[in-house]
Amino acid sequence: MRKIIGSLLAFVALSGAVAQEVIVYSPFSDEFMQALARPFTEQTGIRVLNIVISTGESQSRLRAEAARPQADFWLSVRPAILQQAFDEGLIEAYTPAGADTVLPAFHYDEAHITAIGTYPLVFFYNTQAIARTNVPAPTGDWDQLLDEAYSGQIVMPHPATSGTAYSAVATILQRAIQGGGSEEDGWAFMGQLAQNVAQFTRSGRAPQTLVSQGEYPVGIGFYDAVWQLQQEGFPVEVVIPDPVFAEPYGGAVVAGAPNPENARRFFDFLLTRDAQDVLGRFGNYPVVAGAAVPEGGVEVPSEQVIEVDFRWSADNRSRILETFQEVTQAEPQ
Amino acid sequence: MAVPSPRAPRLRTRPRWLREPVVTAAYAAVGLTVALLVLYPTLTILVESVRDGEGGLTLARYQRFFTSTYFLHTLYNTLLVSGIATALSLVLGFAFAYAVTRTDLPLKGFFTSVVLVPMLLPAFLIAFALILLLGRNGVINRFLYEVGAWLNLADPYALQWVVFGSHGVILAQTLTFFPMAFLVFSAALASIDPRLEEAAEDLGGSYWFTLRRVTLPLLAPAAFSSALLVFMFNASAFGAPAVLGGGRLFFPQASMLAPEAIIQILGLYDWGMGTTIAVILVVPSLIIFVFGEYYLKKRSYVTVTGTPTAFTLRAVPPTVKWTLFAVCLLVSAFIIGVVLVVVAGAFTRTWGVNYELTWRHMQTALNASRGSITNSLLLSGGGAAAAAVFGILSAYLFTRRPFPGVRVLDFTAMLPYALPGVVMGLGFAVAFGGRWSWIVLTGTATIIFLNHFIRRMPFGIRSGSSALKQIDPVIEEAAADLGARPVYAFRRVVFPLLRATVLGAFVFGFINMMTDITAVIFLVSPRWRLLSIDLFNAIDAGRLGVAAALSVIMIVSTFVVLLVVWRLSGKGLDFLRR
Repeated sequence: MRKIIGSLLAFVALSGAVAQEVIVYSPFSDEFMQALARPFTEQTGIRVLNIVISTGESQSRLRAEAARPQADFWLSVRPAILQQAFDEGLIEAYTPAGADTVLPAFHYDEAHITAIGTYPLVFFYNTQAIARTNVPAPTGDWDQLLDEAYSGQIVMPHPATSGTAYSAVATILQRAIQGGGSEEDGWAFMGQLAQNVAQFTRSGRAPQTLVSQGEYPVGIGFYDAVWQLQQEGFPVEVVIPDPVFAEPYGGAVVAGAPNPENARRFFDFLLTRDAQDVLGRFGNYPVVAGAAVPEGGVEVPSEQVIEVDFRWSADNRSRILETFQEVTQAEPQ
Repeated sequence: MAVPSPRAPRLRTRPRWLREPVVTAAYAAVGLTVALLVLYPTLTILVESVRDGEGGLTLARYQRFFTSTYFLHTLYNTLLVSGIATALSLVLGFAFAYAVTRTDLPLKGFFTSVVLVPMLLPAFLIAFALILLLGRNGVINRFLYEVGAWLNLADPYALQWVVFGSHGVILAQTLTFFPMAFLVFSAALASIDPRLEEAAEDLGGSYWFTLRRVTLPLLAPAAFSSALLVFMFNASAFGAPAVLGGGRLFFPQASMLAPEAIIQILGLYDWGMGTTIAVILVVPSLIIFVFGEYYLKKRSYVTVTGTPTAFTLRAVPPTVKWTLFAVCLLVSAFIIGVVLVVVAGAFTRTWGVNYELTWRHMQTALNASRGSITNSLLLSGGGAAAAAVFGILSAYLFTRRPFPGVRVLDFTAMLPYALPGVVMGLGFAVAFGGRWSWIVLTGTATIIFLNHFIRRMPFGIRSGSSALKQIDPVIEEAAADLGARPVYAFRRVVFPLLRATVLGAFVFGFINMMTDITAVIFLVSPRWRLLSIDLFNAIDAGRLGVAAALSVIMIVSTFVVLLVVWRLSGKGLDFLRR
């Protein structure tokens, strides 16, 4: 027993001595992070430590830890949330070395926003569950989801905890506004949609899982997770909605990070071909020219992509979340 | 209990705390540990729940809880699910205990072993296995679909019984917690003198009359105490509601208390609301605990005579016997099915879709969680060793060197047993997480180690003090007469006699630490991840293959450690049956 305690103490001392590391908060799976980390560690000798945590959760965590930041890098964050975090002083305005290689469509003028990758927000359905329940397969028309046939058949994430869901809500509101209506119309739509939603999940990736396992026929969420489940062999099909949200995600060096220099080098690395090719292997679309796209991935028609003003999203975020609670009366599950 | 001091009386020249500096120092260490690791975190939760933004106090969150439909539904869900699961656990636990102690069923040894398996598994593992068995793509439901298709039913899915929802949570929690009821009932049944029942039958009472009017009333205290115990664990359960509950409980838009507290903190970072729910969760546990400590102990009808009475199995009507046999067989088969399905899932490419054999999940799990596995083994091993040794040391102090007020210290040290994991984890996160910035341990191994240690120390104390009652203080007096100082006497005389107890406490602690999620979910950090949390995340993300692989790794590594301990001690896992 003394030996166990002794080796425990030795282990604690040893792990404290390793200086070269970068701590990453990201919703990406461990395999994805390890695939990204491998070439980075080979090139720089810096070890990547990560925890799998949804964007909303990591944002609250960064706020809570602001006095004593625990993380170095924050990966896979939408521009609106980056903007909000920057306004709160949670992140650094660091422009990574490869920022000039990013395709013009994904370019941002703000120094604190640099795109790293992208995937569209899609509708997806389980072909077996659709056949079983006589629920119609979604066509990509948002209004169709209000149909009574979908009552209790749709799963989507909750915007308070999931960045995915926030993107969905922002899309719904912008669609109403750009369609000549007002934000009120968007909320009316959201309220009606909530009638058909069986569950607002805590994690942005839970709907993909639930639908792939046939627990619910239809889901709303980001494409990368659907693609990965399709690779596993699950009977899931994807429809690109019209309009479709296809904003890129970025990342940021956490303000006051314990290892800021390592975090910046990690950011630089993410825009290299090595890193961008890894993205393609996990259902993400690269933002630099020439990198690998997901094998057999969907085409996103550029004319369907909705313009969402990220500043509007950022400025209105707390109000949107509050109104969402009022309209849907739903808590994350 | 007043025990004569093992040392010869001396002239009372100095106060006792000066005469026995080692005892005084030991008491100081126990007192400090308990104050810092039990009282302080618990109180910070209470304070955090009533603290408003401006440094004042407020009850607004409690008001919000008890006026909001959502939170009330969470409470009702918890009470309903726990109540039903507790009732079912009692019935099952009694059936097993009765079958094992009162009948001559075949396979009794097998049943007693299998019934203990759920205690060695993480609470949420059963919920997870139920998805593999009874999810839409689960083995059983696939089979039922085939049957439905074969029968040419209009809806071939009609026969399926999908596990998601209240019924699933109740099933998972019953399977997880009925072994506790079994242990209490079998101990009670074993200690009821069978001659009482024989006398009733000799006087002409039928089998059912004897059961109803003699056996069951004698079991009332056991039933009551196991009901309280099982309800306490049910009410603070997190795994099954999180894995199987999502939006489909009795009140569909709400969750249950423990998962809700975790969502409030980890999801919404609402420390105020999270701690409020934690306090609400503590109240019933505390009432039950105090009740159990002070009321039930005095009310036990069961007396253990020490010398077991000659035991004859009673004639049980064949219908009862074979019904019991069927129940035991079914439940045991299900438990074995749970373990097998997890092993199968670990080596199956895509559960429910593609049943090719593969090593892929195992490789992924070993690659992604290598660090977590070593962390878990180290922290659980170290934590369990510390909890066992320190717990038994405290038990020795409390029983052999008592001082006025020792019962208060004992009660406080036992508290972590009653406090739900969510509360202890959250308490540590608030107390040592920089919100009260004088001790900051966030992100360290120390915070996990200390949490493991303090939560499982009560078992060391309890098993230590019951073992000490069986060791005659005369032995220590003999050592003292021969000139041994108290520390020497403890180290060379008492401690060796307690070896089996220490190992028992170690094993119990180790298993619980390896499988815990509710407390450590608040304490893990990128540098100190744990196997159980990786496993929970894999289930949460729907990566069933990897989750199954991680479960297999957890079960295998736990059993390897137990096997080593077993070989070292030359003792079996008998302590579990005490």
